[in-house]
Amino acid sequence: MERDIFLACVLTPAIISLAFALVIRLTRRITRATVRERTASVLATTGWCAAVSSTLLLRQDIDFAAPEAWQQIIVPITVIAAVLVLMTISTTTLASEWVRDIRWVVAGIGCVVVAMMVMPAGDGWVDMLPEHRGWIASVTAASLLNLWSLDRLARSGATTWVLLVVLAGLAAPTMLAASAYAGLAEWCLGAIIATMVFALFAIMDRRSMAWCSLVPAVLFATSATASGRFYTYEVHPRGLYAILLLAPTLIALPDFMLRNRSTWVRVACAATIAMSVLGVVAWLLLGDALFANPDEESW
Amino acid sequence: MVQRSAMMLTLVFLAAGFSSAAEKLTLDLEKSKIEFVGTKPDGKHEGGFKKFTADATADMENPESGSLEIVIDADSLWSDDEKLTNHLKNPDFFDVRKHPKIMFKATKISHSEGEEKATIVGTLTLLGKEGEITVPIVAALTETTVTITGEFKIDRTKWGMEYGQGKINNDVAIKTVLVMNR
Repeated sequence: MERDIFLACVLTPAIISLAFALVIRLTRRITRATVRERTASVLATTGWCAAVSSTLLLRQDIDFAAPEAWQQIIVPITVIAAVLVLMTISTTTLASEWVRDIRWVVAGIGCVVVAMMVMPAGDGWVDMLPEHRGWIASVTAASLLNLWSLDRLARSGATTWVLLVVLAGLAAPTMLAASAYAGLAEWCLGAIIATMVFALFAIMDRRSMAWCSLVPAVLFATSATASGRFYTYEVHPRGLYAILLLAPTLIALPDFMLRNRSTWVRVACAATIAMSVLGVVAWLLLGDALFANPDEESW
Repeated sequence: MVQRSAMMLTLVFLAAGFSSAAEKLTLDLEKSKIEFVGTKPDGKHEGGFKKFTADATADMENPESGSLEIVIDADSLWSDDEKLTNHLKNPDFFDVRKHPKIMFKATKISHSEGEEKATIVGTLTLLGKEGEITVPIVAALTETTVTITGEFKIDRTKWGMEYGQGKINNDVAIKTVLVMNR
């Protein structure tokens, strides 16, 4: 791996995520439970977003006057994730039923906003406009389903390892991006590293709220899939995009039947499904390249 | 001798864009080509563009003031590998959505009398950035066509195409054959 890519996409997001994780650990000293949980959850969300943004800022020569759609998406993701996480935490403590209900309304609106903002616009994209409606609907639906299934998973005793499922959900669109657009793939790598740090922290520090970073990570994964689709000129089957968009749900859903089993059984099952999903994605995306002669490889 | 005379005559034709005796030349796209070869330490890839236009004028009386302007449709890019074509169209390389046109405009045509080759200096606009390039050419003239062949190298990073530095060589070899009807 190139030194610059390693610094921007691995080391920097890892350090920032770790710094936020350590601050989250310090919040254990806060005596009031509500304040402690809210502070930790917002730190987890903003920490993840800061780590991922660092990769973007270091690797992309961003034109701030007219950023690409996939570059500006981190802004609404951060805002929506922060609001959602605050409301999610509220439901575990003192929140009313009204807050619990309105949370999914906010989530729906947030997912629509993210889906709309990730659609590339401008003169160069006119030929892709007919695809926008379908993709906005797909990204919105997939984001909501993934958030719902992962929320259920976290609430059924998987708080410590739910981020590992999100990792698999991020790996899938990263493969799509890597097949066409290195800049986007590098950003996805930064997101994977940030999620990995928070995932490890959530496993080690069981009382932390590090798993809250799953909200921006899920929104990021679905929007990265949409960006990957618009930056590829290859024709991929629709089934591939469905798998990419719904990978977290595909991994999380079978766990509903295993919730009474031990953690090891549940993790092993989720890992097996995750490997299968990623294997199918790799085969559909890279099958030709994997079996091609070396001199037929791309750059 | 015949070749040298043809060469000089061609340059004279090319170099008279602003003269009242200017002759406009029409590009024959099917016979013309703009191709490139990108190299890396362990191999190379060939590619090119299928669609482009060229405006050229020629005049025998004022050789130094000819004109040549080429506009390339970046989305018509092709290469010897489908996945590579996909990658080359993206912002890592040509960013064809944001920069659909690649342009070259000659600013100076020079030729020493008695020489078989000539030089066209011009501005290449790629990825929205302008850079001066010098293209050595060989021209051939028939009764109905003017054929200009140029081979040169550019440093892609000069235009901000920096993806893969160290793995992919910065210099890209370019070969152009412009067949223009008189």
